[in-house]
Amino acid sequence: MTRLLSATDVLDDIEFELLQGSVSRDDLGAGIQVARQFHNKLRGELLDPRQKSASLRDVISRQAQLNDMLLLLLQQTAAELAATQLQLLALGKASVGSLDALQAAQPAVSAPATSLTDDMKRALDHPIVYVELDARPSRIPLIGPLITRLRIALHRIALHYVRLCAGKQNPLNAV
Amino acid sequence: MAFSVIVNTTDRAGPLRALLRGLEGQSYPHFELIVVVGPTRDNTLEVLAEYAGRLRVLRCPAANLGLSRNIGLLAARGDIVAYVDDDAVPSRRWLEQLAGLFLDRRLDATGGRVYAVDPLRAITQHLIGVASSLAEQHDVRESPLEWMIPSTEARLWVGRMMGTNMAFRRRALLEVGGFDPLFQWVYDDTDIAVRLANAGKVVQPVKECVVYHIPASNRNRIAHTYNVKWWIHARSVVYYAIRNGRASGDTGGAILRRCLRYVHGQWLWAGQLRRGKQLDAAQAARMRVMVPWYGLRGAVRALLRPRSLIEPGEARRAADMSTFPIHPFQNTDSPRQPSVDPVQGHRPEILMSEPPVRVALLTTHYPPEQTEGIGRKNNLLARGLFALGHGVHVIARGETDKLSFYDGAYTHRLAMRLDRYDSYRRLPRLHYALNHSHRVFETLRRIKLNDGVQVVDSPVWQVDGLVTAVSGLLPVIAHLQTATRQIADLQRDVDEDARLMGELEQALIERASFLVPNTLATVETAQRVYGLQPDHPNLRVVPHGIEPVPDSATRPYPLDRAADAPVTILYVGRLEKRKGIADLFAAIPKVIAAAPQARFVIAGADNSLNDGFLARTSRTYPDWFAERHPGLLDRVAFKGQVSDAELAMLYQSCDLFVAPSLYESFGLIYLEAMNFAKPVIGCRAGGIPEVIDDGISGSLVDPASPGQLVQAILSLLRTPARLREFGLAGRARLLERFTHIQMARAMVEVYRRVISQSSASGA
Repeated sequence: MTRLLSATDVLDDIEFELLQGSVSRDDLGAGIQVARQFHNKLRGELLDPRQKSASLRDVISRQAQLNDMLLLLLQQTAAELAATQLQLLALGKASVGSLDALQAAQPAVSAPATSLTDDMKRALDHPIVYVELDARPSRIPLIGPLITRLRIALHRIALHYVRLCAGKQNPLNAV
Repeated sequence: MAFSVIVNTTDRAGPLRALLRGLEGQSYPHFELIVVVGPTRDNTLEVLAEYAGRLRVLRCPAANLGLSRNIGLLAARGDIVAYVDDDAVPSRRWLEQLAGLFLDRRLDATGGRVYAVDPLRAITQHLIGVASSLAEQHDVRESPLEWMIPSTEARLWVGRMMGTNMAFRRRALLEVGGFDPLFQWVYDDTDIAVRLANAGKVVQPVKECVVYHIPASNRNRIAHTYNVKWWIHARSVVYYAIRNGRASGDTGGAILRRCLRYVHGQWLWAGQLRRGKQLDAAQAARMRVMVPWYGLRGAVRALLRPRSLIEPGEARRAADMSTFPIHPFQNTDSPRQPSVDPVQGHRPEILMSEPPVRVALLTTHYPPEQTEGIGRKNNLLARGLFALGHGVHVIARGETDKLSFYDGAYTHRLAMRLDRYDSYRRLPRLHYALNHSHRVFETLRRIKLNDGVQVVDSPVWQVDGLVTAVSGLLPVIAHLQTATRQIADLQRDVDEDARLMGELEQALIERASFLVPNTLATVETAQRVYGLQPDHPNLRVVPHGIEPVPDSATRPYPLDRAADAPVTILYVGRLEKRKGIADLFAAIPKVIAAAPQARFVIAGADNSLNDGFLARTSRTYPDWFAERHPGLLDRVAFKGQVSDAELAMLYQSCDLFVAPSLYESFGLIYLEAMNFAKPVIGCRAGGIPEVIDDGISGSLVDPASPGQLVQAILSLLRTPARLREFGLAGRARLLERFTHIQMARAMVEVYRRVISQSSASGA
């Protein structure tokens, strides 16, 4: 028998969409495609045996352009990640609030040494740990966890490279 | 970190006033203001005199932007110099966000998004620009990755800021010699970005740090037209390409080709503009002659003369001025100054006792395009809030994404974009509502970041604020009005879509920080339909209000009118079952039979398609009436949907207003009639009895009772003294209880309470 949809289902989907919004789908998808296109074009131009070999200056100039593009992509991803962490924090705080209320209403239940609420609160003090913990698992069957893991991995790479690359780009631009 | 905000202005006193007033509201107070005035011919200096002692006024001998920018730079004392155009107003947190960016010591230059405040133009005028060493530039509007790598011959592409929104570390700007005065109007911003990049400085434009731009005319262009001195562009482009192309290692051939192509392109474009009638023959001919000539002049200047930058010695002396403290622009009154209309520069001439509240109003429809109930009420609320000095952003649905400033509020219109919540595609109302609610959330996130919006005011109807309430981004106040569940019951329209919308309305009510019903009847309905607690702690009834027309515009019934003179009875509202149109149709023949002088005017769009009448009868409401009562058509006029101006005229010219709605949570239409001193007849349903004083300002009848309606109309028509007396009493009641200012005052109390609760809970 088919179960009727309820507001709870819709609210769960809203929370999921809020998590999905961590990386703007349009920008990221389009960005990766454009970067790949340009990369292929660059490779074709520089390695085509029918054309005369490019000068080192041209190669560096083209590579700098590609770096520019990747930097922008990474910067955006990092900015979206920061925004999402704030949202996650807010969502998490709301959940902790309701858990507190629940525990207060049921004092007879023997509490473990460290309560779930405390764990969540501690996790929220360290947003990155919280993201890794995936406190609100995806409801999409099979691929949901994979999507979340991929995104976390991407964000970590993004943060790393943004810091690493930003300081190096301008000397290249000046070539 | 101290800022020097530099404004370069010539002949734009009006927009400059808006900017100066807008800068009073900046959330980051550590800035001085330097205004560099060109050879002005208007009252710019008088406007600046109002701020004597708070800003520095410098003079530039020529209308030359590059030169003017350098004069400001040399006088600046802040660590960061921020440039904003005189026809723009920065968002409240502009400097605060820039300060955050410049905490990174590697950053030397940045700038943010520029919104065009114009109902006819694309919302984003500039997002992140990219420019090449050969003067190719793209203002990226949709995605920052669009156009990122244009395939051209240029060796260098860098991010660039738009001149109306750019900030620099002062020392870095002085190190490269400031701006090049050759750029008297355009390309100054792009040139400085390329030169900074070539000097190894970090130039990084960003997506936020918003400035609202209201393009004004100047000596080189007439705003919103193609009547522009394009030849100044040509000279700048040729000069730029030669200078920066050579500095960036572009080949001579590439530079030459770029210059020739640009000039040729402009030459051809002159023809296109002429054919499109955007330029007249003389303007097009002048453009064709001047563009190559100015291009040549730019080339000669680039090849034969050095750049006229700030001398290194002078730059060093200016850089040492950082030891002097800045004299801040803001004073102790600034935080309590009212909000400003960025287009006209108006603001209420009051000093507020507390800082203004910054609120976002959500609405499905909004004037001037749409004038339905919630949109009209929100428009009145926005006007009332602005009149009291508060800052308002309205987020409404629209055909395309647009931003304008309308009736005291920044109005963001969001187009329908169904790219989320695919699993609900089969439920169109829900699917649309969720997608729109999510877009509202994204817009609010941006407005909060840039303008510091503190609270969201959302109708429960259509759940626009649901995603925001779930996210916890901002506290949401829910306005209780007519409920979807109730209408679904009235119109027998309870499918899964309507059921879920009803459940989501309940979810929004549960998640809202505060509830604002418009009448006690709405509270009772919400208790019945949504299980609202009787003693809800966060609830306050705030009735709607409207803007009173002047006394001279009211038209009480004239007692000296002849007994057999025509009497006009007006109905306003959609033609649908809930509005009681069927009862009115049943009453009309009987009223006319008993009072042949009666004339009916029916204004409102036919909604027979949505309420099932069309399916049942195969007729629209007007067609159905015409078919049944062909002999009455000379006494019953169907006006359809009318404009605000027409509506006001209809109210003014009627003698009696009748709207027998089966249910209204409030009934703004009765207030609109009372505004013109007209007697009103409504039903004892919903909030209508709280608006109409039965026997004092009008008459009440039972819902769905055409007989009572006939009696009420005839009773009033037979006693002209009561027509006048009721009308005047209604007008007095409106002035006493139902003005938009009273509504706004009550809402401000609610907003302040919610903001303080929200701050206390750390949300």
